[in-house]
Amino acid sequence: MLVIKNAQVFRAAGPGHKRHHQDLAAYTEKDCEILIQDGKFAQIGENLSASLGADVPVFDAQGLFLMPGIVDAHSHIGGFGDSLEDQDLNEMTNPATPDLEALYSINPDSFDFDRALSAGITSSILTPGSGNVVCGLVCAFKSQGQSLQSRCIKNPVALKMALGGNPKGVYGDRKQRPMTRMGIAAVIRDCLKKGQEYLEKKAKAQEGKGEAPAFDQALENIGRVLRREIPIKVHCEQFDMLTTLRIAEEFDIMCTLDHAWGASDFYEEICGSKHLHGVIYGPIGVPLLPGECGKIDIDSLAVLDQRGVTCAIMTDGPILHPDQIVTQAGEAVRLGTPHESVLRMLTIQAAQIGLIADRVGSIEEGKDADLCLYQGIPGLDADAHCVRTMVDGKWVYIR
Amino acid sequence: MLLIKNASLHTGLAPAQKLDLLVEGKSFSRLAPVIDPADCPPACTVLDAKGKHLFPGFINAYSQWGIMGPGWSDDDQNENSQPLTPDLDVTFAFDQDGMNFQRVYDYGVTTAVVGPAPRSVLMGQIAAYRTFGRSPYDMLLKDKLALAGSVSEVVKKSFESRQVRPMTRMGIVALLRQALQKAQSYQADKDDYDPVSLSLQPIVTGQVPLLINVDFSQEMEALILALEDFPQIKLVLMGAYGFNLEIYQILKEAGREVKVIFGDVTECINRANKQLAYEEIIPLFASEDLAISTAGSYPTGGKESLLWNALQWRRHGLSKEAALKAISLTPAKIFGLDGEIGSIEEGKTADFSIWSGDPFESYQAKLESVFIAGQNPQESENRVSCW
Repeated sequence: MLVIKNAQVFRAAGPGHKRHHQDLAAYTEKDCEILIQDGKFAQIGENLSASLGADVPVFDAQGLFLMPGIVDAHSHIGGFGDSLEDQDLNEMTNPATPDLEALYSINPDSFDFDRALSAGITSSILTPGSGNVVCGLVCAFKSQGQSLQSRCIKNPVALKMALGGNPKGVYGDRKQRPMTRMGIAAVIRDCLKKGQEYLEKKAKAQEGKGEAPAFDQALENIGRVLRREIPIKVHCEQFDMLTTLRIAEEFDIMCTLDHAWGASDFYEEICGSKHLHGVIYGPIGVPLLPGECGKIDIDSLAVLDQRGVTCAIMTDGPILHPDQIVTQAGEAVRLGTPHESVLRMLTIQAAQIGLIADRVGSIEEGKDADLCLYQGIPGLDADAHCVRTMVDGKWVYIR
Repeated sequence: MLLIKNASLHTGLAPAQKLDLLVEGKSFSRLAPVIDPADCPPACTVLDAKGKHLFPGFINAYSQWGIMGPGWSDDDQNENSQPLTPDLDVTFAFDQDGMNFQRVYDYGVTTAVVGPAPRSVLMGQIAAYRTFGRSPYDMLLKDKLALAGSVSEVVKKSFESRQVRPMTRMGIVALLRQALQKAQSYQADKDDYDPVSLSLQPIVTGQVPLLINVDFSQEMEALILALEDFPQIKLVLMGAYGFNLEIYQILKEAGREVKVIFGDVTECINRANKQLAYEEIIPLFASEDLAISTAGSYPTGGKESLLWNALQWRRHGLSKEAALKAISLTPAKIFGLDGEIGSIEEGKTADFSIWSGDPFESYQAKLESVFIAGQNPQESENRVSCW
């Protein structure tokens, strides 16, 4: 048991959270105390430490900013070693590998999880890389814990796909499909069509009509997408985003637009889509090159957010240092997104997109006790830095 | 002529003060607590910058902006056809469109030192450029600023698959020392033409600095030891993630000046940056010999990256003033450009930016205008042509 008191608390969601676009004092609380028990937020309210008595240890967080543990909505940490070549998340042997699961490539002892904790990131949505068109299943994973299994919050949470230069570069060089964006769309549509056929055959067999198809893990996983249990999580930028939205509409499945550089060119299409599960923006701070990397517009988060799109921000770890999830949040604030929205993008909205909002992403009773304490206000103060991080009720990082 | 009144002015030399600033042509012409517009000619534009913050132009002490091609396959960052190419000069690779396209001035960066990616032992001669302009030679501030080299792991990686020297760190050092020794005994009037020895002359005589990309403290110690016989060489360390008080002492004991350009700390691709001893190093910034940059073993960042690097140091306790200096005056001093740029002083080039707040303090600070040699690139016509 532990009570944390005297912090400036941002809950992110729940009945205790007030959404407000201007006033920091309205969406944060000064008198909120948090009781942590058995790794969960047991109780949240005023004067808890006084009513619980002297036996319950108290952590005085005077002068610190408390928020839910940050959720990185798109990362590859644990799947890379000491260089980008030393990788375990791109199985570039076939452009469509929906049978793969990122979880089996994650090294839970990777130093990158320590770095994540030092920035207050307590969970990451870990995804295969973008070497293939259909890359494999994505999982939600904690930065600290006992075992691979216990740290995995949920698996799968999405099926990763990639459009554009990455898969073209891999297979185009080998003179194999896909050599073009046309080829990429065809690879995806083939997978989804075969999945539909597989599900129909299975359904008919259950009705006693015809023989059941042989078990196929790849098509089982496509089936999860077609039944809308998980979204497709699609690496796409510029006009490739429209390909994603079009395919999602054709097959009536849910999608996320990951990276989303150039989103400001397509507000109508993105905001109007009934098949959009969320936009995960980033990384920025990269050089510009004509084409796919030609327009990088994190200012688009202001409009997407205002028009009701669920947005999050990514590090694309290990591309960016985990601290840069907060720096990017600051850039979004600089370019006009309300600070309260931006903090939600780092927490509850990333958890919602990652299908784990029942466990993490906000300070609410019953949820996992994952939180971080900042000196300074993240996303506003340029020198704000994480001083303590808690996962499952245990301090796992102390600066 | 432009008169900027009432700004909170960060000269780069002292904490912010309320000062008026007069810009005449390409230069700062006057800096005073009050400059009366009546004392200026009628054609002078007056800008009231009350509540705004004015900074000297930021300088990125090493980057590949302008030498990365429009596609991944046609860039000019690496000529690691051989490990020793000190005869190469970056001015023949710099493309104004490549620099303009990055729009780094949107984040207050007005000067960038440009050099090859650190993939060979001696890569070539580097130059300083304005971050916007019509032609490479209009933008060129100074060429042959330094000779850039590298002793880090990426050099090994460049050559080990070819099974030619250097496959190891000892191979790197041997190549470097032998080239320097040969250059020292080289006599241009008697010996056969040797481009390597010829281009190393200003280095071995100490006229031009030798800038070495180095990641770990082990590599720094080895480098300092390997250069023991060359006391006249002016050494600048770049990347330098393993720099600490011990290396500082070793440099001092070796009779060397401490000149360091810290590499990028905003990404995790280069694992060397995980071991930076921020808290130990920060007091040393007072000497104005330590610069912050986007340099490193992997491709250069975008327009936000230089400020982000300064903020990463801020998170670990570097003061606002020291962070500014590390991306303005200090890099100018390291490359001998401080007579012209690096701070706001009368007579210096009018490179500066005006922000709605202090970006070293708050993310709510937004760049409102930026000037390179007195001209605002954001108001210039879009010159991007073949990109």
